[in-house]
Amino acid sequence: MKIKIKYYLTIIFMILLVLTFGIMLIFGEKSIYSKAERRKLKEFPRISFSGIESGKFMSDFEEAVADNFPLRDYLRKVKAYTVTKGLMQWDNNGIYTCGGHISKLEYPLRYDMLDNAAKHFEKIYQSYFKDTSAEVYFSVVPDKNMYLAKENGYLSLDYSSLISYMKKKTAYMKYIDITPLLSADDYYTTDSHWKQECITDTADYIANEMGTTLTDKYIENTADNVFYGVYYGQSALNFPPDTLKYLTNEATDNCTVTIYPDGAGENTTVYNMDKLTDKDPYEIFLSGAQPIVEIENPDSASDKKLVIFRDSFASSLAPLLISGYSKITLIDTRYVQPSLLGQFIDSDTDDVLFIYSTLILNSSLSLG
Amino acid sequence: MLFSSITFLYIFLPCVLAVYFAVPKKLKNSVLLLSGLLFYAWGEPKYVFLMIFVIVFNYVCGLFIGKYRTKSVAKIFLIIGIAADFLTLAYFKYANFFVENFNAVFGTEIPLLNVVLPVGISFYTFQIAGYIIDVYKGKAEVQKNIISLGAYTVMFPQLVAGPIVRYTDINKALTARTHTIEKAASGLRRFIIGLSKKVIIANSFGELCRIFGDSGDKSIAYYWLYAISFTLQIYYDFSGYSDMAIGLGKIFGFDFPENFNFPYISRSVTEFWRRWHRSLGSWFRDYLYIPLGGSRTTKFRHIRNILVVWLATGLWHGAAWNFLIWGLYFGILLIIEKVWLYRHLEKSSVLSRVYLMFLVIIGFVIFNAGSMSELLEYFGAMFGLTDIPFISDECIYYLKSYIVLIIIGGVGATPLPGKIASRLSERRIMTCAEPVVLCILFIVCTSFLIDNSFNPFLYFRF
Repeated sequence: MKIKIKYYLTIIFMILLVLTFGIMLIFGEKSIYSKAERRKLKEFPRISFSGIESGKFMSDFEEAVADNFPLRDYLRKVKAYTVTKGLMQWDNNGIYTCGGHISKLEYPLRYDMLDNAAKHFEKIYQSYFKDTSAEVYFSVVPDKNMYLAKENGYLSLDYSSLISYMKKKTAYMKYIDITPLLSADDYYTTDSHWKQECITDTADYIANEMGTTLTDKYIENTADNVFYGVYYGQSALNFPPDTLKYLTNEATDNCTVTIYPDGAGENTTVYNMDKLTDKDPYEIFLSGAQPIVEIENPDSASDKKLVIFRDSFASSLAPLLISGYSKITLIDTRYVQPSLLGQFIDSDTDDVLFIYSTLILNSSLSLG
Repeated sequence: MLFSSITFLYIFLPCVLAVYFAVPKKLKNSVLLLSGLLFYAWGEPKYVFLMIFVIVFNYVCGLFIGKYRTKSVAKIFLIIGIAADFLTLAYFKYANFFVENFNAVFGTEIPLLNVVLPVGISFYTFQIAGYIIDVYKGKAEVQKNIISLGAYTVMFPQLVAGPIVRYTDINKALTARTHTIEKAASGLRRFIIGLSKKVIIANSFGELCRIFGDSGDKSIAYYWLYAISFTLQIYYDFSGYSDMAIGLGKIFGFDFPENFNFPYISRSVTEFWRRWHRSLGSWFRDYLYIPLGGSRTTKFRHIRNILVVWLATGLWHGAAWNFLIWGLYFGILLIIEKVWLYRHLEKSSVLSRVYLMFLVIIGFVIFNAGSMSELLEYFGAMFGLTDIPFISDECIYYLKSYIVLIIIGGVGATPLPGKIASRLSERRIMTCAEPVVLCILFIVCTSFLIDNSFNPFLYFRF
C-alpha cells in the first residue's frame, strides 16, 4: 500500500512542479534585462521559415526559454549552493568567495592581450604626445585577486610578470607603482572596483609622482542605498552588501563636469546620484562608462592640465586628483575611436596618465 | 532536442504526455510517431524527410520480405533494404572520410562532399535494418501498420541516442501495451536519476575537460586528471541518457533493454563490454559476429571475426582514424584475454580492476582524440615523454576543486548507491521522502540547465 502511495506522490508532485513552472514560463511576464547578472536576456525569436530551416529559431528559442525561466535568480542560487557547498567546488562559473570577498578567477596571463594593450597605448602616444612637452605616466591597477587568490589557493595571475612585461613594453612612459599601497580591504567585497574612501593615499602618491600636490581634505558621504556589486549578482550567493561612500571637498563641489555620451556635451556633476538606483550604482562616479569626461576646476591654484586614458577604476580616482589640476580629461577608448580624440586633447596638456586595471589589460580586445 | 533541455522538460514532454494519455489507445502510436518527428525536426529540420523516407522504404521492404518469406524474392528485398540503409549511412557518415583518405593516398584532389551528419543516424539505421533482418529470419512478424513501424523507429525516447531497441523487444508492446501508475512512477524516477547523472555530474566533468582543453598550463598529472574526468563524463553522460530513455519508455508503456550495468567494476575487458553499451554489443553479436561464424569456427577465423566486429564497432562511433584505432585496440585486448589473460585475471580482484580501469581510461583518451597528432601528444604527455612538468598550479587547483565530484563519480559508478537506496526504500519515511528527493533533484537539474553553458551530449554525434 505504502509503495502505491509513493507512486502516486511521485507523479502528483512532478505534475505540480512541471505544470507550475511550465505555466509561469509560458504566461509569466518576460524580462529583457537581468539586474543580477547585468546582462540583456535573450528574447523569444519570431517564427520564420528561414529560421526554422537553419535551426536558428530553435537554438534562439532554447536560449530564450532558459533566460526567461521563472524564478531564474532563485534557481541560480540553488545551483551556486549545490556547486560550492554540495559538490564543494572552489568556484561556480569562475566566481569564488574568500576572505569576506566575492571575486572572479582571473587566469591565465595572456601575453597576446598585454601586447595588444601596449600597442594601443603606443599608437595613442605616437599620435598625440610624442612631440609635445607633456609628461607621460603609466600605472597598473591590480584587481583584488592579487591580494586574495594565491594566498588562499585560487588560481592567480603572475602579477609581477604582468607589470614587468607592461613596463618593458611601455618604456617611453614613467611607471607609477601603486601595488604596495593597496590591499584586499581597499576593494568592495561584492564588486571588482576599489573603494574611493580607501584610495586617497594612492591618489596622493600618483599626484606626487606626477609633480602635483593634492592639498584638500575630504568629507566622507554615504549613499542612502546599499551597494550590491557586479560579483554579487554573478555569484548568486547570499552575501552582505557593501556601503557606497564618496568623498567631497571644495574642488569636487565647485568643478564643472561635461560628458560626451553621443558626441555632444552634457553638463553633470562629479557624483551623479541618479545612477544610485540604476543597474550599477558604482556609476555615480563621473556617470560611469563614458567615452569622454571633462572636469574643470575653476578654483585650482595650478593651471596644469591632465589627460587620463582609463577604464572604470579611474572614475573614482579622478575626483581625488582634481584639486591638483585646472582640468582633467578622461578618455575611455573602449567607447571612442582614438583617431577622433584630437578635439578633446588640449595642446598644452601637462600630464598624461595611462591607468588601467589588470582585468582590462589581460582582456584588452575591447581597447581596440 | 536534448532531454536535458528546458524546452524538452517543461514544454515538449508535458504536452506530449498530455496528448498521449488523452487520446484513445488506437491513436497512441500516431502520437508517438508525430512527436518523434517533431522532436527530431527541432534539431534537424532538413533530415526529418530522410528519416520518413527510411521508414517508408524499410516498411515496403519488410512487406515484401514477409510476403515472400520462403522464396528468393525475400532475400532480394532484404539485400536491397540493407544496402539502401547502409549506403545511406555510409554516404552521410563515411563519404568524407573515404574521400579524404583516398586523396591522401593517391594524391588526388576529389572535392569533399561536406555533408552534415544527421543526428542519430547510426542508431535508427541499426534499428530499422535489424527489423528487416529479423523479419527475413522469421524472428519477427512483418509490421503491416506503417504508423506502428514509424513509431518504433522515431519514438523520441530512444531516437537519437539509443539504447538500440530491437523490434523483437517491443513488437508486442507496439500493438498492445499497458500503462500503469507503477510503471509511470518508476519511469519518472529512472528519468530523473538519469537527468541528474547527465546534468549534475557529466556536465561538470565535461566543463573540466573543456577547461583542460583550453589550458596553457598543462602537466603530466593534468593530462591524467583530464583522462579520468573524461572517462567519468562519458559514463555519466551516456548511461544518464540511457536511463532517461528507459524511464521515458516505461512511462509510454515500453520496456527498453538495459544499456549499462556498472561497467567500471569489471575485472576484464571482456566483462567490460558485457556491461557497456550492451544494446550495441548485442546488435553486433547477433547481426555480424554470429553470421560470420562467431567462436564456433577455427581459431584463425574466430580471431578474424573479433577483429572485424571491433573495427566495425570503432567505425560505428565515427568516421575517423582514432575510432578505428579504438575499435582495434579493444579487439586486440579481447583476443589477448580470450587466448591467455582471462584466466589469470580471475586470480586477483584488485589487480584485475586496476588493469581494466587503466585500459579503459587509455581507450577513452583514444576515443576522444580530435586527431592522430593530438592522440600522440596526449600519450606522450601522459607517459612523461614530453618536457612538461609533473604537476602545475592549474592542475592542483582543479584537482582540489573537483575531488569531491571525482569521489562521487567513482562511487556512483558502482552498485553501492543503488544498494543503499533499495535498503532505504523499505523504510516508511521513504514513502514521502523519495518523491520529495526526486522533486529536489529535478529542481537542481533545472537550476544547472538555466545557469550552465556547457550541455552537449556526447553520443549525439553518432
